[in-house]
Amino acid sequence: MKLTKTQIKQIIKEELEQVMKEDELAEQEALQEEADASAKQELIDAMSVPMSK
Amino acid sequence: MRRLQEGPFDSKSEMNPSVRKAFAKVNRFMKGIAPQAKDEGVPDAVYEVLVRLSDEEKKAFLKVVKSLTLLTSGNVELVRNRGRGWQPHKSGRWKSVFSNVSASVATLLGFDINQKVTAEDYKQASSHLDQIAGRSNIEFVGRNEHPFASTKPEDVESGKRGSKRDLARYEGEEISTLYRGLNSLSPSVIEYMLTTKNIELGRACSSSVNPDIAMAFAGKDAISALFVMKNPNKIGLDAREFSKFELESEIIIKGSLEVETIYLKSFKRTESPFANSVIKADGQESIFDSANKQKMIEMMKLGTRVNDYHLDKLGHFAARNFEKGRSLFFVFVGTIK
Repeated sequence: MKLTKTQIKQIIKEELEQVMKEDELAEQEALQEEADASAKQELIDAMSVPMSK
Repeated sequence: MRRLQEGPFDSKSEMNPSVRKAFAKVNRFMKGIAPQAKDEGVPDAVYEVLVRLSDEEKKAFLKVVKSLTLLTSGNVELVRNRGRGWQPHKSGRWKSVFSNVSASVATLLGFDINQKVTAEDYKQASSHLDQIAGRSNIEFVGRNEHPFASTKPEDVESGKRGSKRDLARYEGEEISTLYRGLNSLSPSVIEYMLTTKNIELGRACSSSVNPDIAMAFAGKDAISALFVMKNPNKIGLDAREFSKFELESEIIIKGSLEVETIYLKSFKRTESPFANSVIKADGQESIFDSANKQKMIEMMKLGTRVNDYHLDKLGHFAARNFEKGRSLFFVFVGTIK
């Protein structure tokens, strides 16, 4: 199978876009997890304060 | 495996059945005694309960009292950080943190209340609470279990009507529902609570059998929240009579809250937590499927106190119970697991 220069360019472009999208998603997930963990800890800290204080 | 999970304090500090029963009895027999009488030391009935404990049980009992004291009236940060950050020059003596009841009990158990509270005490309290607050350590005490009762303790089911009535009252009203107020919460914390179906309560969380105490605490500043926690398994440690802040009616708990229903309303101290809610959501529904949970998050993003944006977004009819200027108030109803 022969590929033209334009087709190769297109394939490379699509692959790159895919990889970048995955990276971005992974980064977003990591940020979300970090935010959740921090919110969870903030809540646990608030819960340990007696209601008399 | 059990030893590993429970840590090194287990053998000496676990609330064995005798200690648990004695703890419940002290709570029960101190109830209703006037504050002035409490200042004078423990009553005879409590004395009788405590002197019957073995030396090991006395040590375990004392450990429970010391641990809950440090959480309720000591330095919460130090309990949370297992004693890290403790400074000798800032450390007080046990007599300054103990309630009158706890000081009398500790003295009776042979503890010198003039000793200073140490970093090790905080470390032990943290580990100890970690072990006992998540278990079912709240127990019913019948009227016949009083050391000076004219009749002997009996099986409540086959016993007299008075005992049955006491048990029914205890099961139904006293500690079957616990309340926890929270104030000054950031939007990210509320968002986390709306997203998760089981809210972690942390290592040792202070709650109350009195909804008014929780409401007063929640109302200090926006954003406010209230946990209404059903406790069918009687999880927790009853600190009501031992706490320095007796009026708080404190129960120390650990575990997670399986959320059933969430309400959003404007905070009003004197109103029932369930009255006049503006949005109601199913706690077990995923955030992606629950339009009402998403609406709650949107509301929070418009401000921590009710304003015109909230009213416009919801529509003035739907938001007719939202009072402008009041704090957004989230009520989470669920069961302690």
